[in-house]
Amino acid sequence: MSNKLIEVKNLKKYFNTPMGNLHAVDDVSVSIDRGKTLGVVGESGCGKSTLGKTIIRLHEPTEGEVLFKGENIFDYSKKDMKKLRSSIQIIFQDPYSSLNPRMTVSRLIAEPLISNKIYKSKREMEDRIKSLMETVGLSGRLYNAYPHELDGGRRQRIGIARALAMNPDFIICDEPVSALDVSIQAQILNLLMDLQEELELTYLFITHDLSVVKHISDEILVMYLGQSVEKAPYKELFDNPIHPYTKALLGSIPKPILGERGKIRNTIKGEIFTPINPASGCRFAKRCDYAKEKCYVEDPVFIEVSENHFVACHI
Amino acid sequence: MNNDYKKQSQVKEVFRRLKKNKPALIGLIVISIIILVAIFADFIVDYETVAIEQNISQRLRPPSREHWMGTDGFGRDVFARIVHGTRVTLSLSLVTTFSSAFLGSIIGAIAGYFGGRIDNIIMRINDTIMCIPPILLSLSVVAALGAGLRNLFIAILVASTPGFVRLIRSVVLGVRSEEFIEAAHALGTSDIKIIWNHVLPNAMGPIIVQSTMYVAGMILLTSGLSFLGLGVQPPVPEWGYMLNEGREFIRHSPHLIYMPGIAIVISALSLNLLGDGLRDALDPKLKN
Repeated sequence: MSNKLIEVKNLKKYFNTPMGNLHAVDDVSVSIDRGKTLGVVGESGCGKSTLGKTIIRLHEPTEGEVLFKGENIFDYSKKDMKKLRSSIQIIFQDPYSSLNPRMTVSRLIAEPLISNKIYKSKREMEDRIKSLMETVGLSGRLYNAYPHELDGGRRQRIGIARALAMNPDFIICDEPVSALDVSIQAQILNLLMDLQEELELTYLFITHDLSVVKHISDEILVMYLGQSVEKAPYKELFDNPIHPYTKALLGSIPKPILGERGKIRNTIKGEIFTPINPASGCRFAKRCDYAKEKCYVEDPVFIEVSENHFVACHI
Repeated sequence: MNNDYKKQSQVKEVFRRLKKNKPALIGLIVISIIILVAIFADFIVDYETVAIEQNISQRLRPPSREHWMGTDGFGRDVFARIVHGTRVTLSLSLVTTFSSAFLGSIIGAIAGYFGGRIDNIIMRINDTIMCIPPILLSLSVVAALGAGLRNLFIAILVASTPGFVRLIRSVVLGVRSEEFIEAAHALGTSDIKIIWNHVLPNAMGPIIVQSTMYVAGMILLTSGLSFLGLGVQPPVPEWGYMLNEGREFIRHSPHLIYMPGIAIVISALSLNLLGDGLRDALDPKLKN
């Protein structure tokens, strides 16, 4: 019996646009072990957020399966889905727009409890809200405050408290720190890691910030235009990147070394191509320095090159 | 459902903020006075003897000490008729406005929130109703159901709800795409609760402003229907109908136009001021 909590199999999500099918997520397969964190990185528009939102069915998938504890959640009825919502939760990117401005902090945190009818008595609910606020480090005096009175970090703590309210097993963190400034980022990341240890949570951590992902992940998945291009344990990925895109991504991290100033770094050129009706062949080929003829014709296969290190590249 | 003590404190909070807004406070006071007048009309002037009984020898008197607002074409005291007209006019226009605002909000929210086919069906029916002039529509409803206050109410409700539906739908379309709606979905909140707890509170501003604006229009619509003999029946005092009656004598007895006209203006204006202030007071973002 494997220790896989969640397994995504050949997940596809296409959006219909007037120009054609937008391949937001194209044939992505990943699995996450219980208590581990999978970091998903990639540049803007590569389908990271769509992947996360499709996994908890905020978007309906086009094709594929998501097995949660061995069951395909896409077969779930509305009723089953509601139950499932308590085990899979999501933390949103923008703590400013993801909180209803007309609700107080306590009401916001109470929302999942009310919606799922967890507590019958008010006292129990209040106690739970207060303990949740303590868990995420919100002071009790904010009980009746409104979100606009708080800074981004505190708002994101509300978001985390909301996600924790139902005692989930699995949390999708959709760029939870990218809207925050650096000092707060560290606080929130540490909070998330502490919570993971304490509550044995499993994370799917979506971000475009490589230093963040290195800090928190056990495994890292690199995505490009809706496809997975490389997946490896974080150490392996940083020490021994194989795919040219991963190399370029890693090369784009600014290094605090004075001698390297002025040196041309191996950064990525050009812009991401349109994900609408993409041509066959490697999607990165046009921006790739090492592209061969084969790359333009044939889809690369996602294969295991060394233990737990998967790459989709012809080279 | 929620903590009661918090809801009470919220009402208190809204009132505290409303008090800071002087025009809104004036609007609230004037509206309260008008409502009190409507409730205690019988204690101010007698209905049967002063507001209804005709007195031809006293007709078309200008305002004097005896008749504060003069007398009308049948020698009835205009002041008494305005006081008693408050009841009919205000209750009818307030009740119709708020019921159509309520109904329109719910239908509009459903259309805007679910979108797709539901939206299409609701909005096409809505468009059909909207393209019939409100007077004509109310006329046909009253013709079908018969005259009377209750049927007048139904007629106006049918005629005025589509405007609200359209407005609320457009506001809801904006609110629906907010991330906190998606967040509520992820937390397992049902659609009905999302509409009630998330969508409608955030669409409140336009609803309140539109409602208060509507009241004045409702007074005129009611009076128009009364004029056509379909709403309030003649001897009953009603502001809009009084305006229509006074039309004949506009040259030598303009007070017949001024008095009910001023009454309509004052109530509509104070409602608008109150609505404006209420919108601001209900928005926690503007709290300080």
